[in-house]
Amino acid sequence: MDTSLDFEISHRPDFALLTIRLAQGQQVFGEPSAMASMDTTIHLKAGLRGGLRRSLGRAFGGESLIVNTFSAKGGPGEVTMAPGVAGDVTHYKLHGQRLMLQRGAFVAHGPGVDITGKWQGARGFFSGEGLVLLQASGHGDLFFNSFGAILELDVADGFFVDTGYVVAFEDTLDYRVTVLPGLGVGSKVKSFLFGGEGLVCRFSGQGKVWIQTRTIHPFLSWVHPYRPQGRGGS
Amino acid sequence: MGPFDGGVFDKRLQGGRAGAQLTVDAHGVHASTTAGDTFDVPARDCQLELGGASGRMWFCRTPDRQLTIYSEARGFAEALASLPNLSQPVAELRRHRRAESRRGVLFLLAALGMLIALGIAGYFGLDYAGRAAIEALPREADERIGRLAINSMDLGGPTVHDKTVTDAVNAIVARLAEHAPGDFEYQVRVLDAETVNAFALPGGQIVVYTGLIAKAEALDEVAGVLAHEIAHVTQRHGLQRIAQSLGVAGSLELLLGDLGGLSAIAVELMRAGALTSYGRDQEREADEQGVLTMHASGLDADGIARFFQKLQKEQDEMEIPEIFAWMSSHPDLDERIANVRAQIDSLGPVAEQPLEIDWDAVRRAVGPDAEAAGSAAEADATEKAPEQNADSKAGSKAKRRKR
Ligand SMILES: [Zn+2]
Repeated sequence: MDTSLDFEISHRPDFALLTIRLAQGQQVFGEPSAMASMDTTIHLKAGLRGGLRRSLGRAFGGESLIVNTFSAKGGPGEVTMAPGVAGDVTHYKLHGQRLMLQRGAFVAHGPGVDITGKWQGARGFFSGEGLVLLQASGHGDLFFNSFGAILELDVADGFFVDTGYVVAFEDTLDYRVTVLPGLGVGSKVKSFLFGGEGLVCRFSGQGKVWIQTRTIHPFLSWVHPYRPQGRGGS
Repeated sequence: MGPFDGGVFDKRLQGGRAGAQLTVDAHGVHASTTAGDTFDVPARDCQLELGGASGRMWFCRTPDRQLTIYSEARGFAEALASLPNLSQPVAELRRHRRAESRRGVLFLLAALGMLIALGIAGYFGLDYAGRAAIEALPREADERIGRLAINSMDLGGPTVHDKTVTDAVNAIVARLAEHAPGDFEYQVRVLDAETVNAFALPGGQIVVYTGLIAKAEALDEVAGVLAHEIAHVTQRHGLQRIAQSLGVAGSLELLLGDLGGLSAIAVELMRAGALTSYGRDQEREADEQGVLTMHASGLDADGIARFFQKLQKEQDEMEIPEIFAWMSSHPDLDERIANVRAQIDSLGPVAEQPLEIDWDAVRRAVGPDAEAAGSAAEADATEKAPEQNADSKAGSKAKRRKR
């Protein structure tokens, strides 16, 4: 059975919108906050998918426990999805290979794809980006988002990427979190313990890496002073 | 053996890669994709690598590296090892990986140990780290922070311009500054307010309230308080407080020379009243240094002890401690009086060189029936926005009570 989805990604790369046209009976699974619009023929069901353990794995990876299932029960129809941050959406076709995703990057997947959380141990501890990465496996379509535009890079030998810029990579790549060679000892210790400049992922082996052209942290600190003040909360 | 879940890298595939089902037999490693393409790497050609995101993925490559078949499925490595020419490479790669992961664990433990050590050091050694960081800073840092702080503070009263008062206070500070350690330049302001208070900001900004002058029967009492406040400046207690509030990370930043944001933090602390209320150790140090300065200046170091006693007595009798702001930031008076007197005894006799100031005249000038001083103060208050002064007075009182 062909599980491929009919989709279009428009308004790239700044405010990408994902449109999926479902044939009658087809399904797509999306991050709950991502749905922007859908036809009345589409039936939406919120719920755990893949069992509690997988859902918990997702939760540790920074994704919500709940994945919305959109089914074209009443006839063919469209679902549009917009990620929470301004940026691009990328399509990746799984043919039995696997992809590691940074937390928060997941947007949607078609039937036949499985998303689980993968504990990253010390590497996650030092990257400052989360102890768990999401792992997508199976056969089918996967959509993930970035902050800013997204670049796809083929790693042949070694490659350094600042930890804040990594969106996804194929699991055939070996990676470790390290400090950029050439920094002074003081800044090395500092960036290792407190994160920030100079902390990089070193990829080696064969596979693809997707990197985003902006990171979210400077953006958040730039926005912070302009937030409304004085109504409690954070 | 097999099948194993895995994949293939080959230029002939769309996108150059695909997932595949693998089998291993005496001829080598075979892969077939879901699309039906098949690939083979003969056993004698297979170059093994171990890696991938999990670190447990086995790659079998042809010598020209055009074709790679990989898997991390359970049993795949054993299947490879069963081939005569691959058993040794499999064992070697495994040994290598084990050694590496042991190093990884050691490294993690070392890093965790460092974090814990830093935490402990931060908890017990902040004083030291703070001091080290402060001593490394130029004196301009104190001055800049002091200026920023005084300009952003609610001082709580109009400036006094009566020369009888200002000349006297300036003369006292000048005498003390000459004999105090360090070469800070002091700027003194006398402010008209009931509060019995005086404080010093980093870099040498000194503020004295008329309430304190009116309360002191002798010049040496005010001089004692001022010598104590000057000691807070020379010992750089204000910056130490900032370093303490910054915590480990901040102190490290200071040590690493990052001054950005320090001033903003100082102003924040100022607002919270932290810069003029010091720790017990700092107060003890200021008392000791204050006595030394008084002694060196030829003034009666017992003045501060007498002033302490007076404040305590009045507080006990009157039960309105609000105006005794200086006391509320300087607790444990009994103990401190005793310490000061013990120190004076150990110093021996003073070669007294009294200042030629008519202290009674100064007190009359700030007293409740001081017409001239009162009107001067009022004139000054109208220069600034009067309602702002009223606000700031209430504000500073509220803050002091909170602490
Ligand atoms: Zn003090």
